[in-house]
Amino acid sequence: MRRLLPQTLPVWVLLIVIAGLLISQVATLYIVSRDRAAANDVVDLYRLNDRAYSLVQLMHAATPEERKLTASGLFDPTYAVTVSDTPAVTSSIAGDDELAELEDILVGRLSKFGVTDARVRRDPASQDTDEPGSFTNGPDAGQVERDLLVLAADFAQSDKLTASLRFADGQWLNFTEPITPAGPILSFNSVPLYSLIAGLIVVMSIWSLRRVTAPYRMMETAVKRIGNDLKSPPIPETGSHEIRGAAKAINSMQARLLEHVEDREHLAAALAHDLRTPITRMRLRLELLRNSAVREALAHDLADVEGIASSVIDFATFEVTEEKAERIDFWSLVESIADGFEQVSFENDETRSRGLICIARPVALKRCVTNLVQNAVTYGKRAHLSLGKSDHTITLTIRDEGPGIPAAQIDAVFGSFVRLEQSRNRQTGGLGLGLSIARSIARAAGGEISLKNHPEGGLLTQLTLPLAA
Amino acid sequence: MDCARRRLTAPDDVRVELTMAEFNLLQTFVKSAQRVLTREQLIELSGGDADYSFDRSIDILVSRLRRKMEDDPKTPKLILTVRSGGYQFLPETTSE
Repeated sequence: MRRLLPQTLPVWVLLIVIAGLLISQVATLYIVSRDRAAANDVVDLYRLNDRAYSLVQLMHAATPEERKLTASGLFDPTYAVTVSDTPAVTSSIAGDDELAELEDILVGRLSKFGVTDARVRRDPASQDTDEPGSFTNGPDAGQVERDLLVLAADFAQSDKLTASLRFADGQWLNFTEPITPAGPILSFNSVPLYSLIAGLIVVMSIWSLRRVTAPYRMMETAVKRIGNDLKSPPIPETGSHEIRGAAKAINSMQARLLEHVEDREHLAAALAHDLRTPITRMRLRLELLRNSAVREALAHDLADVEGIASSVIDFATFEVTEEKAERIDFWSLVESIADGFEQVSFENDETRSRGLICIARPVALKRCVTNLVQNAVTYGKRAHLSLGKSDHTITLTIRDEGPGIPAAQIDAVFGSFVRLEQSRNRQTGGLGLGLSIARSIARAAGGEISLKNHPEGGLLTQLTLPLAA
Repeated sequence: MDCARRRLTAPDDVRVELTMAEFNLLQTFVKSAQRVLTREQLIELSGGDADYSFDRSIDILVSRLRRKMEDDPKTPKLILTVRSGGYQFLPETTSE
């Protein structure tokens, strides 16, 4: 059930608008139809009253035989008029209050013509649908003629009011009066107009919703982009007031974040850099000591500290340096790096194509690929490189022969200072900065690094970069 | 080719990465363009590292350079092989 519900704000609002539209339209139609039915009722009673008056006026002075003649002259299947000795409405008690009142009115109005009793009954529609013959349904029938025909058929099938009036001499005048049929509220002809209006409203609400939610969507993409690359260019501060406000807020947030991060990087770099001087001094002083196991151990420790300092400097300065992005022949870059490692084999060496061009900062990209290859060689003994290309991306796949990484820890290895190997052994790797540096370089160039375990063993590292035109 | 910063840029502005040995060899070729150089000369001129002291290593370097620079490495137009002599770097060179 939850899955069927819309997940986005605009769809929700849209659904509410449509539902509201439907409810208000249905309510309006209902009100209109009720009013129309009530108006019809009064008109029907008025017509019956009127007709009774004219019929009685015509007949009250005549003899019973003359009345019969007149009635047959006025005969019409819908408005049957008969004169007889018995009333067509046998019950003298009216069906409801409305009819009772009508009877009283009839008697009151017609008493001056000698009418002594009036009975009115409501009859359900008769089943015999005798076609009214007055209108021909020919192919050349016009619009008005067709409408009349439809109306006549409706009248023939609608409920009837039957009235019986007693003249002074005891004869009854019976006639029927069809109740005005309730036409369809929504005629077929007005459906297109109706749906056009509904469609317009929906389109307008979609449009206004898009405008309303534009800042949200813009903020989402902007924040996502800043998450990937803090140095991405600021978003343009244009558009409506709200969008401009959102853009301005995001831009200032990005600027402050960047300032903050750069401060930290500069601090780290400065610290690591300043460490070098005392380390060098210690190294020189060590030389003055006499040869001993302690001196060896101290020298070893110093080398470690020096290594840590320089990798921190690398990590910090890579972010800070202002290297310009260039168009780079990725194949030559990978091959140059592969050349530096004995344990690396280049798989599709022969299918060299010059089309693998990407835009990145050359030294940084070299660093990125070197880190990945270095990892593969260090933890996986040998690395097999292959290059591929799709419509918009270049893919460098590195497969090693190591044990791989437990699936649960694949995301964790990208973190700074994360090393899966618990021993802080300087021989097999550094501080755990390699992958996080490589990934931030790849992301800065619009690419991504993914890791997964190869089904046949070994870790599969994939670097994808956007292909430059 | 920027010798000071040791970098090579293709005519279409694409940066081509070379290893140190490849760059040294290319530099040698460019300096003595159009001359036929024997393998021994090449080793000597490009800094004669002991690692590259046998003939085949020059052949490997040349084939790498060709792959990185030629449009079609099978039919080289820049670095030609001269039978029983060595290699020749064909293009006209200009320096800035």
